[in-house]
Amino acid sequence: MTGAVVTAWSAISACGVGRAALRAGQARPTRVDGGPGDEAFLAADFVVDEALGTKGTGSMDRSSALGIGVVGDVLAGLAVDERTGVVLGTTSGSAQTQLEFTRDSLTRRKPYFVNPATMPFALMNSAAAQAAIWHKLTGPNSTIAGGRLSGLGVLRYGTRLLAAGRASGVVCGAVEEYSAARAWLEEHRGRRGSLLGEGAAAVFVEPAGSPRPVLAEVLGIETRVAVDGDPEAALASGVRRVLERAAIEAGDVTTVALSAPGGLLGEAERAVADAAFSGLTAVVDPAEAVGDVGAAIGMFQVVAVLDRPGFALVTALDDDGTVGCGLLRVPDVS
Amino acid sequence: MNALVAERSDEIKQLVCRVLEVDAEQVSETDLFIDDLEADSMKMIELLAHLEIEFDVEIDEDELARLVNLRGVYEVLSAALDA
Amino acid sequence: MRRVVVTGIGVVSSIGTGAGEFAEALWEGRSGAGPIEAFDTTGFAHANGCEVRGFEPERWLRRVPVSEAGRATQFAIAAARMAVADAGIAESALRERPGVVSIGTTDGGSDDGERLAQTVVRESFEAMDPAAARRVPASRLAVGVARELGLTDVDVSTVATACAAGNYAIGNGFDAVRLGEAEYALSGGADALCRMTFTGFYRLGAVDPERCRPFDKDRRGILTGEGAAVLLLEPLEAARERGARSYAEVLGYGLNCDAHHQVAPDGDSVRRCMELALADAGVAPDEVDLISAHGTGTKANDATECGAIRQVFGEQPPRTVSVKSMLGHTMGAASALGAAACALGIAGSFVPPTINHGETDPECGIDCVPNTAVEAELNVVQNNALAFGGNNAVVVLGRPR
Repeated sequence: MTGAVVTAWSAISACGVGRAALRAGQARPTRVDGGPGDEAFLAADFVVDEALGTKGTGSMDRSSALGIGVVGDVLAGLAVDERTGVVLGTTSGSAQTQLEFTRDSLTRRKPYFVNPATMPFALMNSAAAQAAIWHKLTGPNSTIAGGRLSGLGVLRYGTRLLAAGRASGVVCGAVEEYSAARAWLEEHRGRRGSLLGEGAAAVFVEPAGSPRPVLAEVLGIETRVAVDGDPEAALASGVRRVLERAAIEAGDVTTVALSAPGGLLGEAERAVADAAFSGLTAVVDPAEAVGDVGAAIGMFQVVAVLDRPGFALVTALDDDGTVGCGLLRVPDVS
Repeated sequence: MNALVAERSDEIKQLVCRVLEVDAEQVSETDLFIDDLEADSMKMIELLAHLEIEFDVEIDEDELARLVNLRGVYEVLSAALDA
Repeated sequence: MRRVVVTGIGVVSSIGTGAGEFAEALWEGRSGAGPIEAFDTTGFAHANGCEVRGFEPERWLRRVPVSEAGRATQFAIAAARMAVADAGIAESALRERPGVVSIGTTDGGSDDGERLAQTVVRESFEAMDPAAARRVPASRLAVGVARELGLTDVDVSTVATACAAGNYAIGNGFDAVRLGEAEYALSGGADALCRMTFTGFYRLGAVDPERCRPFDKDRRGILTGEGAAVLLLEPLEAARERGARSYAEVLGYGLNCDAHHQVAPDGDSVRRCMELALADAGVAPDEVDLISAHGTGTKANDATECGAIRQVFGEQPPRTVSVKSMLGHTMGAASALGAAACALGIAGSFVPPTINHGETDPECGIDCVPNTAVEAELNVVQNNALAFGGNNAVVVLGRPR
């Protein structure tokens, strides 16, 4: 038991901006240039200048803008205080900004003929830090580079901050841009998932006892590193442990949300879900609607189960060998 | 003023205003970037970098002291191009 | 809540490898500065840095193939291996219990990323090296440590809070052990020299042409550096039971965000972060014997940080040193190396010096222990870290009791 509860959420994706858009789930891929594929699920409705204005966004990249946007939407209507924190997950920040910065340095007459304003955006902590600057959030502000495990990693880091009394509430989210640079890196890494997507999703997590309606309790998070090269066994062991700790039978799990990494990892994830749970368990795959949103997928899985009462399990696998799962209880409010 | 700077003075003004995020119509040649237009030292380095890139010229960082307003930009740039 | 102690220290740095050699180098005030060789510096008017020379990844990577680990990951693995060996605990003993591997970084696999960018510029996206592409994700740092040590039941996180990341990672491991979520934590930071970071700081006019001289009236900026430090954190009780030596106790930490400016530190916020850390540690300002400052050597950082220190500690603050004078700014590894230096200082009863020091800037107004280490009983030491984006973290260590 982490003792933490989810009381708000939002998402930006190819489905649009905000909760209603994601729930409507209407997304069509957009044509893209310069990448290995010619289509991607872009968050086309999120136009930076319109969402955030022109002041301060001149050198800003999509990653940071998405972070600002989703954190702002989660916090809309919530009272924040000086210990409200932000924790965001990423793969390695904005690959495009990093590429362009290096390209400028390599191709201009002098290697330092670069725009200094883009340098902070090239750092991985930019999205979380920008969200804090934009929304005046002075509490703990952190960035977890967890790849496809980012959702679980961020949730655990955030709930730990609460358990240690370091924050009054934490926006836990994850961001992934679509860019040619990211697409090519993923291509060369041998990615097997669905069409690439761009997106950001986040939840507001606070200690139990909040006056706000509880959308979900975070019961537990387990992660493993498959050091022996068997991610399926490692994930199965994590699932057993998380259920055991919460004293819940596998048959009680009503929803499983997949990270759908594709390829062998995807098969391993399906195999664990099939073996552990009965045919009555609903299996949801948010990537079907938003595409392969990389580090953001975990948070899309979390928000996908919030309107499905019962016990929900979120699984994750990354090709770096990490696997994990998170158990949530979604109250039946009907 | 250097001929190139004179010729491109409007363009330079646009660039300055874009970097400083201010409306070009409200900026005179003598408005002070820091005192009047709320620029900070980071913005000033950004401006210097953009001038260098745009004109493919090197400007000594000590020139930041003269880069106080639009007139200063024209002067610094002229000196750098004439050097 | 459980008490947490540092029982093992692993270090890869430009001034020495391993806890013993690092402590010796700190005592001697060794400098890691020299011309950068990690990347092509043609076109820069000056390019000194603090590079780790003669590093042999094969010595440390036994399970993880060297070709699968970027330089920062190699550093992290080496430092973690050293920390475990230094603590005198068997890897098998760690495998049996739930643990945390938490490694902070600024650039992660960006050194590989920028070499790929070079391929894109000179050839094409299609020509990228797949092995290098797989080394880019920053998660590889912490996962690499777990894979190398065969740790399955672990919470792995690569903490990417830029130049304060080491302290964030130590804080995360500390909380997990303190709360009973983990039985040990391997926490620290790692970064490899990176062209992008160097270029960025250079462009900002924040790289000193020669040497890093924090708090000096003539200071001109940082030198970029590289390295790693990893601490093994254990519950005090467990360390006692197995008769382990403790370098220091982690008394507490604080973290906050300026929420103000991407690059310029905010003095009030830095002050608050120190106050949070001291309160968490249950320590009054007058109990602090030494501050290991963020002390980058830039005009703005040192003046702002020292101002904040004087706000908390009054006009006669404790000795305030910067190990960056010796190590350069090792980015995400910086505060981990700082914490290692603090723990070694506590254990060895000495204060590492601030080298390259001529005359202290009156605006800093601190005793930076210029150029020569001094012997001192240290009971409480504070390790500061600030970062771009206003990510601050301050760790407080104490003499084990």
